[in-house]
Amino acid sequence: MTYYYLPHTADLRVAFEAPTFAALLEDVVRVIREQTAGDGPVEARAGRGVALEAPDLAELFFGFAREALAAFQVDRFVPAGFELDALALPPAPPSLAGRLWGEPFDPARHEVQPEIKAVTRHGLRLEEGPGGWRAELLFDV
Amino acid sequence: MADVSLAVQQIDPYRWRVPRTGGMRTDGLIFADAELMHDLEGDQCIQQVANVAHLPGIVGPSIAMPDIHWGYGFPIGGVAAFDEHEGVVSPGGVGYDINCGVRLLRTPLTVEEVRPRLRALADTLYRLIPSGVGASRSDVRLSPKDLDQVLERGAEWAVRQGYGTERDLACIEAGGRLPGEPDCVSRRAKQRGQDQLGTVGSGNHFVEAGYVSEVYDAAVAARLGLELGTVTVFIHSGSRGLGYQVCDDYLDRMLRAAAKYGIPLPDKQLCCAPLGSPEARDYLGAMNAAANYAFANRQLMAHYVRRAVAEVFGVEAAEASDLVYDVAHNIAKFETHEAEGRPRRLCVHRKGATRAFPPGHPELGERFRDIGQPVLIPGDMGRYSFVLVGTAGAFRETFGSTCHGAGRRMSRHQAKKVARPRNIPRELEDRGILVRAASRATVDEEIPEAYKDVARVVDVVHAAGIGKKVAKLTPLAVVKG
Repeated sequence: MTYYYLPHTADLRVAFEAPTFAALLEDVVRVIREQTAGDGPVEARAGRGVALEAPDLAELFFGFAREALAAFQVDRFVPAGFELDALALPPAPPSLAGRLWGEPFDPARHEVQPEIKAVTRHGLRLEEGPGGWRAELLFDV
Repeated sequence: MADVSLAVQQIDPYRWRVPRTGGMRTDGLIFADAELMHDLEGDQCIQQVANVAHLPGIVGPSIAMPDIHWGYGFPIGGVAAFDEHEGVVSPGGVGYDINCGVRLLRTPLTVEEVRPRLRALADTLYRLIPSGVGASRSDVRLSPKDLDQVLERGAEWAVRQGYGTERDLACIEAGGRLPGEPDCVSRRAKQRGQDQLGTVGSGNHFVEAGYVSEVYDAAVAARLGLELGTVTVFIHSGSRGLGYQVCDDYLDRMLRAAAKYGIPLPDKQLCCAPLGSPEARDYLGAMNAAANYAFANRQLMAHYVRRAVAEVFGVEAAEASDLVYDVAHNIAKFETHEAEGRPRRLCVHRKGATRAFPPGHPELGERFRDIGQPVLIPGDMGRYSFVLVGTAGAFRETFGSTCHGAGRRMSRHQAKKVARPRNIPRELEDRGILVRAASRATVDEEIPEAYKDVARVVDVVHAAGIGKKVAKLTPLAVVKG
C-alpha cells in the first residue's frame, strides 16, 4: 500500500507515493474502493471504459480520481482496479485511456461508508522525483 | 496557495484580525474566544480566510465564524460579500452541498409523553426517511418534468404535491424558493437527483428528535412554540448528489472563467467569475436550482417526520407539529447591506454560516418581523443543539450571518480509531439517546468528541452580539446515514 491519510479536521486528505504514474492511478482506485465499500473484497466482475484528456498532468490525475468516484456516485459501481491501456505524458498533451474493473455495490458483502461528496482541487499536488511519483488529494466528505 | 504571514491580532475577547498583507484586498476577521483560536493551531483555515480576501470586489472583511474549520477553498464557517458590479461569485464559497441547511419542527408532545415510546419513534423515523450514501426512495418517483419543477419551485412544489402546508412556506428562508434555472443544471446532475428527494444522506446529516431542555429568552421561545420540555425534530441535509454535481460541473467552468477574466487565484478551489458574466449567471441559476432541490428535500423529510409522529402518537399530534424554521448554511445570495456608508447590493457567500437577519428586516415574514429570524445551530449527537435569533449586530458586522454548528476538532480517521474498540450506539443509549444508522462507519466518525462543544461556539456569537440565544435542545433519538 503506497497511500496514507494526512491530518485534516473535516475531510479526507490522502498522500500517494508510487514508482510510476500508472501505479499512482491504481492507488487512487484503492482509496475509492476503501471509502465506498470498506475493507472487504471487491471483485473485478465488470469493466467501464475511461478516457481522459487534461491541460496538465495534475489535472489528469484529478480527473481520473473524479471519474473513479463518479462510477460509484452515479452507478453504484465499486472500482477494484484499473487497467491502463494508453498514457501520454508531457510534452505530449496529457491523456489516458483504460478500464476500471469492479462490481456493483452489494449491501450484503460491502460495508456502507460515509458519503464522499467530491474530489477537490484544494491542495492538489503531483510531482515526479528520483524515487517515483508523489501526489496529494483532498476528498470532501 | 498564497503564502501570507498570518500575524493574527486580537481585537477584543471575541474578535481577531488577520491583517491585510500581500495580495489580500481586505483584512480577515475571525469570531472566536482564545480557546477556540487555540484549537485552530496547525489547521489551514486561517490561511483560507486570508485566501478569500484576495478575491476581486470583496466588500468588508473576509469573515470566519467561531465554528471555523479547514475546508477546501473557503474555510467552513466563512462569510464573504462581493460588490454586484466589481465582485465575483465562487462555487467554492458555497460548497458541494448547495443549500445544506437545517429545519426544525416542534411537536405538541412533551418529553414525558415521548420517552415511553421513543424506541418506536426512532424506528419509524429510520424506516420512513432513507439514510446513507446514495440513499433513494421508491415512493417518490420524479419524471424529468417533475424534477425541473422541483428545481424551479423548491419547497412550494412539494407543498402543492401534498407534502406540507402553506404555513410551512412562511417559515422557510426565502419562502423555500430561489430563482432556479433548470436549464443550467447538467444531465448528470439531474440523473443523480432523480430518486434522492426525501432522503437524508450521510456524513454529518441527520434527523434528530430532541426536547427543549433550557430556555434563555422565554418570550421568543414561546413565540416559536419552544416551551420547556417540548419535543422537537431537527433535519439536517442538503441538495444530495444533484448539488454536488452542480458544484463540480461549475468548478471546471469557473477555472476557465478565472483564466479568461485574468483573476489570480491563491487556491484553484476559489475559482470564480465576475458577477454579471455569462458564467456567473449560469452558475447562480444552477446553484439556485440546487438550493430549491434542497428546500424540497427537507420539505419531504418533514412530511415523513409528521407521518412518523402520526404512526406513533396519532394524527392530531402530527397535524399540530409545526415548522419552526428552515435555514440554509451553504449558499450565495444577493442582499442589500450598508457598506462604506451606503446601501449596496452584494452577493453574500455563506459557507458553513447561517443567515441571521435582525428584527424588522423586510425579508422576514410577519411571523418573525418583531423577534428576528430563527437561527438553528445543531451540535453533535450526544450533547445539545441551540435555537437563536438574528440581531442588528450581525446585520451590521457580518452581513447578517452567524455560526452554523459545532465544527469538527478531530479528523474522521482519528474519530474512527477512537471509536473502534467502543460501542457508540450503546454508550449513547446508556445516556438516553437512541441511534439508528445505515452504517457503523458513519456513527464512529460522528462521535460527540469529534466535535467542538457547540455551547462554546454559541456563547461566542451571543457575547459578540451576532446571534441571541433562545433555547437549548437535548437529543433523544438520532437517525444517521
